[in-house]
Amino acid sequence: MTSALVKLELLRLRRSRAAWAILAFALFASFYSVWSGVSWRASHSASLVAYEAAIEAKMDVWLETLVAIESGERFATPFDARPSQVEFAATHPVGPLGHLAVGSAELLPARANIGPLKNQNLMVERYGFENPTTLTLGRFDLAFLIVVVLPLLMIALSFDVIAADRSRGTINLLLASRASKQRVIATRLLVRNGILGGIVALAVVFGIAMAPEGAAAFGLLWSLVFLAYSLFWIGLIYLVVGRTSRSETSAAVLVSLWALFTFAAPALANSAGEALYPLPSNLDYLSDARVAQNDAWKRRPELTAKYLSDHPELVANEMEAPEFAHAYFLANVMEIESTAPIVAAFEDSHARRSAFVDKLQFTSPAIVAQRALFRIAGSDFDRTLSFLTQARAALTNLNDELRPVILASNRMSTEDFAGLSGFEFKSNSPAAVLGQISIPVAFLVACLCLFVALGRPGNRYSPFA
Amino acid sequence: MLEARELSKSFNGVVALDGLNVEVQEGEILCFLGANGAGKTTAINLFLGFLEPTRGEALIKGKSVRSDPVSAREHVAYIPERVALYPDLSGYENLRFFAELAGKRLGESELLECLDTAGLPRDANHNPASTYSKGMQQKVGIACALAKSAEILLLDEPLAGLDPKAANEFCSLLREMRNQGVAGLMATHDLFRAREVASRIGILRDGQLVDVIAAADVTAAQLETLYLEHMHEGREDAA
Amino acid sequence: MKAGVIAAKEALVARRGKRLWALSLGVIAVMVASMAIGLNRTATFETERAAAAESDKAVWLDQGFRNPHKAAHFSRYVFKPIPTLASFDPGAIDFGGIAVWMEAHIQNPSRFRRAESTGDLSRFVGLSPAWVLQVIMPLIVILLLFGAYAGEREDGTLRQVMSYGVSPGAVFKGKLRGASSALLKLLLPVFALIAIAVFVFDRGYPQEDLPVRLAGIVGIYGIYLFAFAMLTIGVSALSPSRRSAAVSLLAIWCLVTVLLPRFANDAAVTATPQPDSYQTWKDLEEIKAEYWGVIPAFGIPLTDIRKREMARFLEKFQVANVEDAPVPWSAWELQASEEYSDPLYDAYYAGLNDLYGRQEDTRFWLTALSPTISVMALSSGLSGSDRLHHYDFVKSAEEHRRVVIRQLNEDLLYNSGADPMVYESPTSFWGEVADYEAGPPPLTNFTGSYLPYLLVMVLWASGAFLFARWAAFRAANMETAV
Repeated sequence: MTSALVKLELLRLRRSRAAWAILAFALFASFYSVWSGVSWRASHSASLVAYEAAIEAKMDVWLETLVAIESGERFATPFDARPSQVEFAATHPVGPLGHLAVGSAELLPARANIGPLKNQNLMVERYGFENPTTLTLGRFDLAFLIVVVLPLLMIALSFDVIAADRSRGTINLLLASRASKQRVIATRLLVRNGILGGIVALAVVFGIAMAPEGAAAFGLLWSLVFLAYSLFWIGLIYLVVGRTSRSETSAAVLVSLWALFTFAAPALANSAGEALYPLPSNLDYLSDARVAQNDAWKRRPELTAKYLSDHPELVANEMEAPEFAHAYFLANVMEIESTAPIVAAFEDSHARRSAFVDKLQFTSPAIVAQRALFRIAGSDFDRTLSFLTQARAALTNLNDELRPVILASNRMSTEDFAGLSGFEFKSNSPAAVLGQISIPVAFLVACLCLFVALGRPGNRYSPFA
Repeated sequence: MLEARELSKSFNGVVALDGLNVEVQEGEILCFLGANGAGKTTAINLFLGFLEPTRGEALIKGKSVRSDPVSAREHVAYIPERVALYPDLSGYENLRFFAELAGKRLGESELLECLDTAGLPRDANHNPASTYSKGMQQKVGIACALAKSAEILLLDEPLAGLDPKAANEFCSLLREMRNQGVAGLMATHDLFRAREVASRIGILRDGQLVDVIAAADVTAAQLETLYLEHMHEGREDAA
Repeated sequence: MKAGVIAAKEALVARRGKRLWALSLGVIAVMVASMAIGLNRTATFETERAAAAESDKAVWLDQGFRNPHKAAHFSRYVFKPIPTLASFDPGAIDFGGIAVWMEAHIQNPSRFRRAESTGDLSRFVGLSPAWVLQVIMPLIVILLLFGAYAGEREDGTLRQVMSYGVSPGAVFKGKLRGASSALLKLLLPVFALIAIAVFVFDRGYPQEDLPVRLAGIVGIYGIYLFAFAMLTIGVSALSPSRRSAAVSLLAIWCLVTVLLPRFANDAAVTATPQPDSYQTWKDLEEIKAEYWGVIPAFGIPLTDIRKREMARFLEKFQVANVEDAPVPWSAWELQASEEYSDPLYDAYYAGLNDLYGRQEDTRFWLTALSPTISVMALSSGLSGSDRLHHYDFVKSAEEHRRVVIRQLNEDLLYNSGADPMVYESPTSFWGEVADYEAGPPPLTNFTGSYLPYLLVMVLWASGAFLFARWAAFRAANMETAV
């Protein structure tokens, strides 16, 4: 029985020009989006590698000089191999599946320079040379395709799954055989969307295969969310087409739901988040930083004197470095300290906004899916924030390590240099990501179960009652 | 008023109407009787200019429909099987619209009179047409014809699906209009109504006019014979 | 005459159907909400800008005694004014930096893009009045008009009307007038609302040519939605039923307003990749180093450029040694290095701008498939929130930087005496440095750039009109109609 239904459905699909058009579009769009993401990832990663190599090369020269000075091969000037010249590259690597969900990664900073003369503001390497026009709408990445486009294609393929039979009267012919109506609908939906989903799944698998090594677990999670979200929509379509008698009504209801979930809910959640939890302005941060910088500049002799009187042991030095080296360092430390509250406030507001959106995400499966896909891919806003927090921590750490030697105007030893902590980005493990996405995904699955339960023939709310 | 000369129409080589020659005078209604696909509707559509003849000519008041369908239609009122009305507008508003389309700016009382004459219940005049029964819709169709002061009626199965009472009323209205000099061409497969309304009955079969009988001459017994002879052997595939 | 009768009937049906009313109310509600969000954002941004500019000035004046070249390294910031109409169409405003650091020696890029702190959700969709007009309004036009011909055909009224001796042209004209008046009824309150919001409640930086810009906005959205109305009527005339008309039109809507604009942007950066930030900054630093050479710890070896400049200096003051000149060579050289690198920065940024232009060219070609792309470009241009306006701001900030740095260098040149490096300007000097006061640029600076988009819009509208007319005549011909 079922196999007969499936065969009939496949035959009908083969004969439908609209179905061919939809499937061809899905094939083109999904593979285009993966290709576009892969090319973005390649150029972005190459740029990060080039940056790291450049900083490393610079430090190699610095270290060679230091070694030469230590071994007495070279006459040391006050400017050579000073500890204040130490720097490390901190880069925010593209997430394990970043090419499948570019998201805001294309506009957020990914390179920072960790050094004793840097602060939260200065450490971030200049960025933002992209064309603003092309940033406005976001990338046509696979995540966008799955979250926004796929449901629409599913609707286009499924809205008349039964209504056409109904208006032609062939429904009675079908039902006169042993098939139950919900079985006919379910089979047809699964056949049609199975082919569509299969095409997109191919792109997903291809995309996961294009990921760097070690992304398999993330790939599995990504596929899971893709599956849960697609099934959610099949469930919803199943419920709607069963309940509405005319196909234009099905189409109208489904497209309205789609617009509600992918436009209205995110727009409202975004605006509400922005209005209720405004982030401290970058301009306020800049103003405070400049006031602090100016103050520190004016108070530098006093600051140096105070620090050195607290630490008399530091006064001895091998060779006097220019005064501005440690003055600059102190002014910078002061700037870091006085702008720390703004940074903390930014992180705090963001955390609260994020928690708020986490609750609001349940108003729309599209937000749920988008957040989950971004988190797994490692393209979420939080990951960039985490990168900046880690970079700031590394900066503070380095400052603490270098403070005595800089203020004493000493040179550091190669041994001390080898002991510096540097920077390494710590990203979430698959288990941690699973923890973050488990409730949202459970929500999608619960919705699906609800749709299926509501759609059962015995149910009072069943469309087939 | 209406004249067909060798009027023929085929669709992709299939002949729907073949060399029709017929004339309808003032105060005369010609009924086309025939099975489905005998060419009745095709003939009406040719007179309306909705179709172009493959051969021959349809004339309204002596002028070829083909050369100027728009002005030919100005003399004609068309009443199809189901008179189409705008469902959101009332019968009165529909009538006013169609009257204005016909170039008649009638006052409210004149319009209401048309509806009255057509037999639409007065309390329904201002209800939305979506609430009307089929009989009421056909009456609005007649009212439109009255308001247009059409000299010619083209009726395409106007009685199908009407209950006997409504059909009766409709027929007596047609007779009245005929008596006032209106010419008409009606397609039907209802022999009995045809006899009531028509001056003459033309029998169409496979697109050919096989017989024309004066309605007054037809007896009930003949009707039955006619029915058996002509109504069950039509082709089903033509338009 | 008959067209008038049909138009009047269309209006009556539209009124009776209540659909127009419900949709107008819905649109006005969304419009008010998005306008409120826009006005609030603009007001907040302008307040922040004013506060930042004030603080920047206060810090600048509060420097105390300081060497003018050290001050040139601390320097000042220029903050981007957010124009009034940005609350109508924020365009690319959140994606361009809003502060430029006027440092000595280098033209810094603008920084602090607002979009960097809005989170992931804003990448879905940004609710703005312009977005409502670009994406939601076409949908509403479709909902209003999809039955124009398909519905009449389905109900048989088209046949009925034709039987009254109405020419296909008259029916089309009637439909056209009916659609236009429905569109006007829908749009007039919306535009009135926008005008009130912009003229009365907006706290953005005033645009002197606001009325012209607003008139342009009304014009292009009028053309855009007219094109959609014609497309709807055309598709409706070709469709056998309301159902198929609605489904085809929804598919067209999704493709044209949602998918293609995003695809166009992606295709633009895939065809012409974005400049790599790291490489770009390295290039800019190389320009900076071109005059001075790589600066080692001790003693600065003269680059050829410096040697040439020194020769010019000696010749100008007719001296054999720099020490004999009436002004300090080191101060002279600071300004000379700026003047050397200025055209290099101009060329470099112009090159970047050309690259952006090439990206937008890709986008432009896709306007052939989607008028939404072109209305987006025009709308953000008229609102003063697009990349061209941003580039204008960047250029004017750079001009101001050059004025400020020259002022500081000249203080050093004429007032520092023999040793410019230990000279400190008096506290009163800082107040003499000019503030940045330029507002948003006038539209006339860019008119040429928008003409192709405007042409595309007009072509779309006339093409849609001809299509609708062709389809309407076809629908009225019973023999060929579907």
